[in-house]
Amino acid sequence: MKGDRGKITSGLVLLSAALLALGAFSTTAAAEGPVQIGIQPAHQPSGQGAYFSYEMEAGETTTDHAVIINSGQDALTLRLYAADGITAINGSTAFATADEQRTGPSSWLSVDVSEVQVAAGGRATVPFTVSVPGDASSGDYVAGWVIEAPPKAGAAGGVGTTVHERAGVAVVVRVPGPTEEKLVLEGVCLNRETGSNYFETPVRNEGNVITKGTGTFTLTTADGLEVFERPAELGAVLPGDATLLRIDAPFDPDPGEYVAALEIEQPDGQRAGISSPIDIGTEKVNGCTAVAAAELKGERGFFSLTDGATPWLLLGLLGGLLLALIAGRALLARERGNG
Amino acid sequence: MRYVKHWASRLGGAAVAIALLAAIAGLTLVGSDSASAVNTTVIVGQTNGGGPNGVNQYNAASITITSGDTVTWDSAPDGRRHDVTSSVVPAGQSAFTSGDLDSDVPPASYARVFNATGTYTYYCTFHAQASEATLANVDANIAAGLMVGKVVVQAAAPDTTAPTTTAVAAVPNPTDGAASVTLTATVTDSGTPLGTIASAAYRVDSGAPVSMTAVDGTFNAATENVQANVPVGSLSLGSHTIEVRGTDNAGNIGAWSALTGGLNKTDTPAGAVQASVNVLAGALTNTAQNVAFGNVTLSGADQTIPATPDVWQAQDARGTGDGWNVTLSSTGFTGAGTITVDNFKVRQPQAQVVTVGGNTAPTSQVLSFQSLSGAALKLLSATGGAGMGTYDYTPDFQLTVPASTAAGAYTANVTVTINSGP
Repeated sequence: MKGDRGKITSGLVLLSAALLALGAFSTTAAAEGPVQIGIQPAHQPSGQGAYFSYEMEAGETTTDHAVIINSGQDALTLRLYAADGITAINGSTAFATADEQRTGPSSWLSVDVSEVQVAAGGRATVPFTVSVPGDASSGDYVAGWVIEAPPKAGAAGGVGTTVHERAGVAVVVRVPGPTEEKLVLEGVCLNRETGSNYFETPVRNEGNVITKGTGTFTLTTADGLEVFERPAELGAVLPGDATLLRIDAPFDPDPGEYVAALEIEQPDGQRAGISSPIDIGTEKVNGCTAVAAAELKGERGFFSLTDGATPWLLLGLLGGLLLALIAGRALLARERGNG
Repeated sequence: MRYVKHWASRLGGAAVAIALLAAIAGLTLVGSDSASAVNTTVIVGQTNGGGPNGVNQYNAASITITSGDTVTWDSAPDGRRHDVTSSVVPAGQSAFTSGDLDSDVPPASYARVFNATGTYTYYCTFHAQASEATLANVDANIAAGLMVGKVVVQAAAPDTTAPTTTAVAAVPNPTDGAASVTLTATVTDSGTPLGTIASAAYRVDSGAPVSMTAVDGTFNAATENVQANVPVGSLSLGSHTIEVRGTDNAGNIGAWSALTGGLNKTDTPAGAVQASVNVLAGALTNTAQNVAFGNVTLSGADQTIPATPDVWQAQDARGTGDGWNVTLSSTGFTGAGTITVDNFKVRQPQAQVVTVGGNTAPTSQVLSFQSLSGAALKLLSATGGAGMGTYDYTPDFQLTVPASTAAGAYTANVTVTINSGP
């Protein structure tokens, strides 16, 4: 697949034509009726499929087309942007929000428009390019095209929400070369807040391709008696990403000491497992808060400063190290003085 | 007394009726076995009913049967014990014995199926000796009235009868421009022993035979309805011969049976119209609604408020069956102060996922309440091949308003995305 400036130019012309064809509709900020928007491959040349998938060498560029569909009864101005692929809780591809920094493969995607106007019941075809950096290593890279309708505000006053409705389609690039699937499970915790009884396990994909898994979650008493067994289904986990796998508990276990075990088998037959002791007390609390906060940062890591959170643990460790150094110097000085 | 006799009479009639029904049922059962198998009955013991001058014997002491037939030995009502014990059996066959047969002490009957050909001799251990039932002397001892017997099992006559084919039909005929026709026929085996149809074939204009299939999926019965889709695109316009034949499990190949009148290949009639449809792909869409907790009056304690929004709807009209999922994320509530997002929970009971139209409904991924966050929480998932259609769903929401919350209006930004990807 080679870069082709002519294709890009013709695609932009096509986009312009598509937008001109829709010139009859009025610019609408928000829908009166239900929003029904979709985005999917225009099948030129990505072929049949529900999302875009390419095998491209490092340094290669290609063009393709997405079709944006407005099945609703109101003309809409839709926001269009490239988003990094993220792994949803329990697996499956989802997409970062528009405000999240484009540091991943979403920066490989480019399009000349950031808004698309689509008439009620209409479609618009948008050309775009995919450019793989020259230093990209082998593996899967997942980004996506996302369209977003104007925010739908709730009733004024009281406690409520503003809903942002989006539709996203994945753009998956496979750079040829060695591949590895590697799921890593880390600990199991239990959330027992009222109405919420589920076990939770942080999951990381340390490989370089998309993988997923199925397996079994088992809770046993400390002396080995099985309390229950549940199937575990983990959807797609993107390479280098982290997520959580949650298993609903069929009932609220009695207070006591238990062992929670999770075993997951990847499509390549490799297995990942974890076994954790769980002490269930009488108080119904969310025992997963700390784990979730730490693990959902994924590649950014626990010490990341990019999310704006105060790195108290890092600061604490640095402070402790500083105190140890000061104490050490003082001790050394005193010993020298004594000598 | 008349009353008793009346009921006795009715009971007697009922007994006869039951006996007749039993006899019919018995005949039916025998008839439902292999059509060629025969059951031969031999009476065992004193056929004159017993007594000091009775003769212990088998009443049909020397019989010849066909492989697969059954012999049943029934005890005579003589008040004596007898049995049937083999003396000589063909090489490789097992000896057999009935055990005691006594009309007064059941069992009074013994049956055995003879599959292997050859001569079997037997005797009653109470009234004869094994040495009196050898191949050399059994016939003489039967003639002498000893209680010995012989069964000669002959090979069944081979099935040499080929199946016949009837009801050959082709649709459409004339073809009227069709690219192929559906050819059907009925193939039936006959003869003794009755076999089953093993295959069927058709040929066009005496060409090479082409296999047909059984309508019920398996060739395993004496009569099979068979079918084939016969391409006719390469045939010239006009009449053609189509023939069908069957083969039974003994290898007998039936005669070709022709389609009466032949197959008439014709062009599409002038002025005819054809029905056709081109199904175009639609979109994968989702409609979400706002969540309103309304007015909450502070009470000095944490309060958990439920809310159920208007119905949401996911629709997959792409026609690809590639699956999809709906994810949910949220900010915290801001206004006069802040209510952190972990107080905002959602669940999606599977019972609240309703198929408006389509195939297998998507499955809830959040059956019990889970806190929302900035991370994408997968609410619904349709795996490959499922979720092709329109589905209404109604998530349940819950907000815990801490006692320390400042009074005022609050809003959270909820992002709902329908995703298509791996």
